[in-house]
Amino acid sequence: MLKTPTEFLVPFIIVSVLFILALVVFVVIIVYRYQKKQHAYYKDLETIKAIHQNELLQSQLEMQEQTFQNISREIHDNIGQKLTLAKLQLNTLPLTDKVQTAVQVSGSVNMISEAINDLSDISRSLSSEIVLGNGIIKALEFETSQLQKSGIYQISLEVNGNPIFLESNKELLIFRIVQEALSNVIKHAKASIIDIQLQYDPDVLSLIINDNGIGFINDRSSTGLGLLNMKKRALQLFGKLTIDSLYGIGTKIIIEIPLNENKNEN
Amino acid sequence: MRFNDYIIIIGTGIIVIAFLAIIYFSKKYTVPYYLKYFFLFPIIGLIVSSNSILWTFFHLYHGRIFFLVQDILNLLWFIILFVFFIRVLEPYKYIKVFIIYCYIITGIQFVLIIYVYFNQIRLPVQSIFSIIIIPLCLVYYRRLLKLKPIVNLFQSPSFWIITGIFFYTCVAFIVYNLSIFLPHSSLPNSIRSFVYSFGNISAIVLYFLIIKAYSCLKHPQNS
Repeated sequence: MLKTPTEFLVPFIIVSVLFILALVVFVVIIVYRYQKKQHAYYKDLETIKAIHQNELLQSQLEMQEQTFQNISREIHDNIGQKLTLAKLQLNTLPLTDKVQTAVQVSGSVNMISEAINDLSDISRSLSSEIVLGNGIIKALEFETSQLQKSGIYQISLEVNGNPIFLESNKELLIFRIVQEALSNVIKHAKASIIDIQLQYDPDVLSLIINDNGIGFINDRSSTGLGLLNMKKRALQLFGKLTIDSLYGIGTKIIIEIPLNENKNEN
Repeated sequence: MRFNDYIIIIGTGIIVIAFLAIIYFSKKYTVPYYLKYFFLFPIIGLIVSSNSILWTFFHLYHGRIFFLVQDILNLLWFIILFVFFIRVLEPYKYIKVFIIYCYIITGIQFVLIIYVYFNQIRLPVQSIFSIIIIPLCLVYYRRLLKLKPIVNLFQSPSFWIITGIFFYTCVAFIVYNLSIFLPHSSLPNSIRSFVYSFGNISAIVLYFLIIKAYSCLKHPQNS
C-alpha cells in the first residue's frame, strides 16, 4: 500500500514517461514502416514506367520495321509493276505509227500518274504526321476513304461521345492497331462491309471494328502475329483487346483504352 | 494554484488558438469531408475547460454537477470522434458493425452517466470510450500500412488528428482509471491533481496536433 506522496509519485512518473515513450516509439515505427513502403512503392512505379517506356520504344521500332516492309511490298507489287509496264510501253513505241505511239504514250502517262497517286497514298497512309497533326479521327477518316475508293468495301466510321485529344504517341498506337485490324480484314476476312466505331466515354475510349467476313476460330493456335501485336499495343496503353469471331459470320474487335492513365495506375 | 490549475488555464488558451486556427484554415482552404463537423470538437473542449475553471477557481456549483456536465460534454466529444472515424475509415468493410457498436456504446455511456450521478459514485465512464477509440486508431494505422502508400503522411490531416487522439485516449484511459481509487487514497490533493494534469497535458498535445492537421490543408491530398 502506497503511503507517502514520494512513494507514489516516483513510480507514477517513471511509468508515465515510459508509457508516453512507448506511444511515441509506436507512432515512429508506423511512420518509418509507411515511409519505407512508400519508398519501395515509388521505386516499383519508376521501374514499371521504365519498362513501359522501353516497351513503347520497342513497339515503335516494330512499327517502323513493319512500315518499311509495307513500303517495300507496295513499291514492288504495285508501283513497280506500273512503272515497269510504262517503261515497257515506252521502250516499244512504234515510231512509224503515230496513232499507236500516241495511244502507248498516253497509256504510259496514265500509268505513271497512277503510280504517283499510289506513292502519294502510301506516303500519307504510312506517315504518322496525319495522326500526330490532325488527330485520330481525321486519320481514320482518311484511312476509311482510301478503302472506300477501292470499291471492294462498304466502310463506315462512327464517332460517339465527346472526342478528346490524347497524347500523340497514344493516338498513333491506336491508329496502328486499327491499321493492323483493317490489314487483317483485307488479307484474310473476305469481307464486304466494315464498320468502325469510336466511342468516347468519360473514362474509356472504345474502338470497335466489325466486319462481315468469314471469321475465324478464336483460340490460341489461331492467334497470329498481327493479333498479338494488336493486343500488345493495347496493353501498352493500359487497355485491353477483345476479339469476338464467329466462323462464317464475321469478326468483332473491341479495344478499350482507359482515358485516365493515373486512375488506372492507382 | 496547483500544477493542474496552470495546465487547465494553458490548455484553455491552446483550445482557443486551435479553434481560431480551425476557423482560419477552414475558410481559406478546402476542408476534407471527414473534417466537416470537426470544428465542434474544440468548441466542446472549450466548454469542458470552462466548466473546469468555473468549478476549480470559483466553486460555482457542487462537484456532482461538475462531473455530470463534464461526463455529458465528454460524451458529445466522443460522438464527434465517432463521426470523424466513420468518415475517415470509409470504405471500411466493417463500418456498419462499427456504427451499430457506436450507438450501443453511446447508449450504455448515457445510462452510466445518469447512474453515476444519482448514486453519487465515481466510475471511469470515459474509459469505455477509450476502449473503443484506441482500437479504431489501430485500425487506421493498420489500413495505412495496408493501402497503397500514395499519401504524404506528414501532410495528411487525418494522420495528425488520429495520432493526437491515440495519444490522448491512451493517456486518458490510465488517468481516468486511476481516478477510481485516487480520491479514496491517503494521497494529498496536490498529488491527485498532478495525476489528473497528465490527462490535461495529453489533451493539449491533441490540440497542438489538431492545429498541425489543419495547417496541412495548405497542401491538399487524398487523405
